[in-house]
Amino acid sequence: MDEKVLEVKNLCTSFFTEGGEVKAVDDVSFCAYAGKTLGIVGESGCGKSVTSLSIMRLIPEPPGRIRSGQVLYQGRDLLTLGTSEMRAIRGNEISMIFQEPMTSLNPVFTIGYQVSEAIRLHQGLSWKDAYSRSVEMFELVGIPSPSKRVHEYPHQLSGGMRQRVMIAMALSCDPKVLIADEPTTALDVTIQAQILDLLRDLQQKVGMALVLITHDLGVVAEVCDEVVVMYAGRVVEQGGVREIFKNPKMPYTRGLLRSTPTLATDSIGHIRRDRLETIPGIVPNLLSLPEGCRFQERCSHVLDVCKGVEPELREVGEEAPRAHLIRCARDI
Amino acid sequence: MLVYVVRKLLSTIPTLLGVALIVFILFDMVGGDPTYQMLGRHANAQQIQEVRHEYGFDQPQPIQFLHYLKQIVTFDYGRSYATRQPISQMIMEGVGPSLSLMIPAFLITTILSVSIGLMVAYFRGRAIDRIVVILCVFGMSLPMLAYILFGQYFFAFKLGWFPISGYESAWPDRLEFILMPMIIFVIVSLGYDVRFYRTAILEETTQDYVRTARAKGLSEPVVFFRHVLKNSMVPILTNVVIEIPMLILGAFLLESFFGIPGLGSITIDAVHNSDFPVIKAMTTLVAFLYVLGNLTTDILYTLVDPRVSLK
Repeated sequence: MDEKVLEVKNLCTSFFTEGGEVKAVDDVSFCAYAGKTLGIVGESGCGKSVTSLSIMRLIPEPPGRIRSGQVLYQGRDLLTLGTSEMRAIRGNEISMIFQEPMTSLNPVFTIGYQVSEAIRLHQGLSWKDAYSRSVEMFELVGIPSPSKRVHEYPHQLSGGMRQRVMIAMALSCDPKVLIADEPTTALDVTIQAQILDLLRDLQQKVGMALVLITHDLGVVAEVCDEVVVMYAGRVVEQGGVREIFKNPKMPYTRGLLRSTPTLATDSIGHIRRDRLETIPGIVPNLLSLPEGCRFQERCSHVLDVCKGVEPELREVGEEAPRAHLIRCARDI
Repeated sequence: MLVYVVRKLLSTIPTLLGVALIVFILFDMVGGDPTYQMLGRHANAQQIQEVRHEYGFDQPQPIQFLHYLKQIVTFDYGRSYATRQPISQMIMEGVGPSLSLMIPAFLITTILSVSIGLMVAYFRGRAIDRIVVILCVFGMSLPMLAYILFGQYFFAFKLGWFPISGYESAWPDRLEFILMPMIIFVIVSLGYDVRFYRTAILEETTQDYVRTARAKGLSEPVVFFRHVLKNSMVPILTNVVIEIPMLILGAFLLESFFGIPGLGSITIDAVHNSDFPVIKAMTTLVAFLYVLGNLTTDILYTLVDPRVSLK
């Protein structure tokens, strides 16, 4: 049995705009286990990033607010903690890395200073010790000549190196959970692979739970153990990675999988250049969601029942060790 | 660092030459023949010829330009048409009163507006922030003249707290005369400056690195006063240094309304009298101060922003 370190229960986060309440995350639940990787996938604007920022309680308030739900970490509900208790968790027990390595580091401080700052804060080390720990961390994440690099500024590093610095910073206090919000989206393909390998290696070494937010199903297939598929603020399908890829049930998940490029060959061995399939339409406006299933307007299998009540998340099979859940009315 | 400063200094020379050329051409075109202004309508050809020769107006333009450059370098702009005083002497006499008014006014304005800007940016969206912003807009909407007239009528004439106008060069008597124009300058500048600094600082608070700093677990004051403030220094410095040359001219109205014999008063009088050599000297001076101000900003940038390379 895997050790459950983070459990998100019925999380609802809304943004209050002039047009009304935008339910960016609506009743989302999942667990992260030590040493395992959970992937959260979906199109832009489906609530992936808001979910991760909600866990860290970094949603800008106003306009955002976590309406309800629980984020249980080691039995404590993070949503009920005071701000200073929450600060002791951030960067220490739960860390986060972001999509934009180019802008996520402060341009006017050296990278060594920025990593040491977190170490000093949570581990109470002196500047000197924090710096030598930073050098160790840089070495760990594969930054060449780390003892020289600590004195450099972010603009002197490439995007990939900056993301390594972010990872070093995030891991410097041995967190139990690392949330990576599209960590490779802004990077070159070759660098993407390096960063993913690095994350996977480090996870093996430290045994932390990794929550990987991405829209890249290739990344999910390679790295994740369990997948949560989100659509318009809802979880629409969830399960073990093999099960989801082998046996996707929800039409949205199928659409996502079909719209991933593959290198197929025809009968005589030539690479086929088929047109990629797409899911027609766009993510619905969260201010005016359709009644019933949120995916109905784009779904090719839509039934009358889809237009009435929104289906509940239900179990469709027990592929050990995780249940396979879908939110779809069709009998599959 | 020293090499950088020297190189920057050398790089201002072409700019300064360009500025001098533009000023020269403008005055040559707009100013017309100053001889008639000096001698009036009833001058005879003999007198005109003598004056033209005395001031070098009979020389070809390039020679006149070189003469002007020489004036700049030697800081000898000749004599005023109106007062017949040497212009450099007029400037030297005007600098003291101007600076004794503007330096304290400028320092107080900068310190106050940066502090208030920081405070309201920190409490963004709360009641204190809104009240200050409304006050700023209100303050910006009233022209300086309104403050001057109100101050002179109410605080000087009715209440007698300050003299209505005048100047005394001996200290500490000078203070009495400088105080009210100084306060008016601070109040008038505060509205614009506070809003500027507030916006500059707020712009930084939405940057990604601020989210990273929070995700590290840093407290809000540390995020704000360490991470945000250091990044806001670039726009803050730019605004501060840009205002320095304006100080001399910003005092135009104040000096002439309060009868302070500073550079602002000299310039206004010169404009009234079509005293072109004085106007030309003041224009040159302010333009050069601008260039030097920008140079100072460039050098200061290297202290606050590592991305500005010394190379």
